[in-house]
Amino acid sequence: MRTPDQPVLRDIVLIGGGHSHVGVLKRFAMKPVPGVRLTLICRDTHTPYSGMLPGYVAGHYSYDEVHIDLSRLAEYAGARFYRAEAAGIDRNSKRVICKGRPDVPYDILSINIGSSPRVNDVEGASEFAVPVKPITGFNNRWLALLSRIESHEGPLTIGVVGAGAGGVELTLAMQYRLKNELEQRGRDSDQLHFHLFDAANEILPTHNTKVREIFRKTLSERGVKLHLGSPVEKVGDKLLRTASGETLQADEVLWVTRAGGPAWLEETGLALDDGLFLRVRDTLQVENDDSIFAAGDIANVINHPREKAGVFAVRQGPPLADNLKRMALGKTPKDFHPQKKWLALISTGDKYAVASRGDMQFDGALVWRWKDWIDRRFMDKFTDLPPWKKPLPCPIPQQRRTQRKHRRLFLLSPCAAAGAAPKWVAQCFHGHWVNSAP
Amino acid sequence: MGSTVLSRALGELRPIERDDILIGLHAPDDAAVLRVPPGMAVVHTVDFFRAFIDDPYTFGRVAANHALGDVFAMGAEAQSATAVATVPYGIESKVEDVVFQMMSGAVDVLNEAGCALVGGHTGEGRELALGFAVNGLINPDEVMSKGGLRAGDVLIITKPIGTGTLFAAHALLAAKGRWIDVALASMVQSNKAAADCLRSFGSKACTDVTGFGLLGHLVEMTRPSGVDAELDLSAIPILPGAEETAAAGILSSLQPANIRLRRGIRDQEKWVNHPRYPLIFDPQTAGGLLASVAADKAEECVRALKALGYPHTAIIGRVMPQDESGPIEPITLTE
Repeated sequence: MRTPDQPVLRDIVLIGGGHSHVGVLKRFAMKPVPGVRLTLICRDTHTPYSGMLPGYVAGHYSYDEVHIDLSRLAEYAGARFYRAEAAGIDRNSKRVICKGRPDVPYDILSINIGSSPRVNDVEGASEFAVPVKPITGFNNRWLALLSRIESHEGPLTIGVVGAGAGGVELTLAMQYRLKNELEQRGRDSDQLHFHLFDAANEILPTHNTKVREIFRKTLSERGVKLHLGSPVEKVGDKLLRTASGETLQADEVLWVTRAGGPAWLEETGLALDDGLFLRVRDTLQVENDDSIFAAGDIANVINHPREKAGVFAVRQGPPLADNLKRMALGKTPKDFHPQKKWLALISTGDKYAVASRGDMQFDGALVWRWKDWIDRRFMDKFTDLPPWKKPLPCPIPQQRRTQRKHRRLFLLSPCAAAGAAPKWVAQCFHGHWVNSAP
Repeated sequence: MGSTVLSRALGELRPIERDDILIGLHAPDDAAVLRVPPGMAVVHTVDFFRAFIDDPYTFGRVAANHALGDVFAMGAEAQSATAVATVPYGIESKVEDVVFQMMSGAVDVLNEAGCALVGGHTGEGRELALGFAVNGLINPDEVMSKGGLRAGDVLIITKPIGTGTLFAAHALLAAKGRWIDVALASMVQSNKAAADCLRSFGSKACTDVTGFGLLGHLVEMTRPSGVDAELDLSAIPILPGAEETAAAGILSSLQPANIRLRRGIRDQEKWVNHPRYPLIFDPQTAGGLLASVAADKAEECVRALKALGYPHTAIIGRVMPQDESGPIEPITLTE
């Protein structure tokens, strides 16, 4: 830890270690604001990067390659890291209520806690299904499944509920990994059965028809059975039933459906939408509280509704950092307008990926390598931290920053080779694009 | 620091009350007044150090637990504590919260140990620091002193070591967050139940492993006991990550002072390149207990300690008669 020379005048408290907040921490690390103290409250010390999770499940990445170490990043940023779960906000006394430790006072608050699949909406789901978030819970269950197949005999059936990009990508990653694990042990991988459910009639509803076609074909080739057009209405012990009466005996049921915010948000009196997401203005301030900001999945930017996707959380990082700083210095926050179209790079588990943007698509092993490169580069920003020594690291001089920009543009050439329209490839690099996994 | 800031910060704390505390924190006077029950003696100790993590609540918990360690290592019951703190300059509301958070952590730990916070003193300084003077009560016949090692006994440690190198690495961004989490969880674990257990197994020699490191505290025990000891490097429980950070050459600023004790090691040159060699000098914060138990009770004692929630408890060596040449190289390493 480093003791600042300037007394603390303003406390910015960040709840959650989401993709926006890691950006805020990095920004304040590079450009500290004297008199402003950051405190990060997060339940987990290692925060997963959603873009690389399917690759982790598929076995292409290690745990540390897909997680940002918040303890280390906070130390780098001179921020306090409180490993705790937020359980409420007392807006009258401006305090965050935490589990297992005293309340944490704030002057300015920012919320970037993501969302979790709503397992309480369906009978038995909270008890028998495994929600994909929080990731820690999913990861523990996944590791347990991996060790269980060492001794598992006979068929293994896995049901995945939710056929959006997140559900499809996760299903393919799991199928690839489990098949490999079984084959490495000389066992029959035909014993593996995957079933994908959704209430909608279409998979990947937010993507174009060509993308859907590719995934329908891939799912079929990989033996994943689709059950569309009827919601799952009950989950029991190793059992799943849809509204149309279809039942499935499943060893594991994974929940990757529509997500919601935590119940405690309701008690804060903050403006929420129907899904319990925070209603925020273009400045990322919550509609009815100037001193509280929100970003990522938990925020619903009323004027610019977007899909819940990691890419938007990442892109909100810099404007959020700027506005937190502006508020701390007594200035007016600025509006931020997100892009209307976005690039999604969706992997199929076997080091192959599909690029989707608006009504365009292309796919290939090269797309996976491109995605891998983008993702690793994103992670490097939060892991390749130059060890700081007193005095504080200075912001990069203007001249060097310009050079960096040029280098970045120069590096675009391999992507152009992938057949991409140069204009939106350039956008993706400047915005640090990630895919739209859950 | 202003008295209003301090009284507001401390006013929200709820230290336990004890019948033997006649005047304590909530009946403020010039000093606290305690009663010593007939037949009991007072154990008195003090500790003080600056914050090594940027979380005043957790720091408060570690500081209090560290201070209590000495009392438990003697085999005593903790009775009361007074706090001394320095807090960085700042505006009142911010300073007040830091004091409150830090003392909340301390009081949580003191309360759990049955120890009443009876007073304290706070000053301003450049860095956050906290220490405690702790009083304990003990039957003078049941003291577990450092001089109680007997040849033939085995040596038991109740917690893994490595906090010094890990927090040095944390400051250099060279430690993984989960290593720090595990180290902190170990540092806030009380030694109380372990001390009770060791005493019930007839331990006559016990100390808490702190600033002098494992070797330093072991030498502190062999000298007054007039014995030698054998320390099994491969048996020592080590915190996750500590071997990596030590191997990277990242060591606590207190390490050089501790390394002077290397002269107490027989054939010391033979061991300098052993990966665990630096760790026996690693200064610990709120470390575990190092104790001796009769050899025939050792396995059972370890099982009991593990069941009490000290899963890393291990037999790490044995006590031997002193070499004829005297206490010059009392420690023999093995692996």
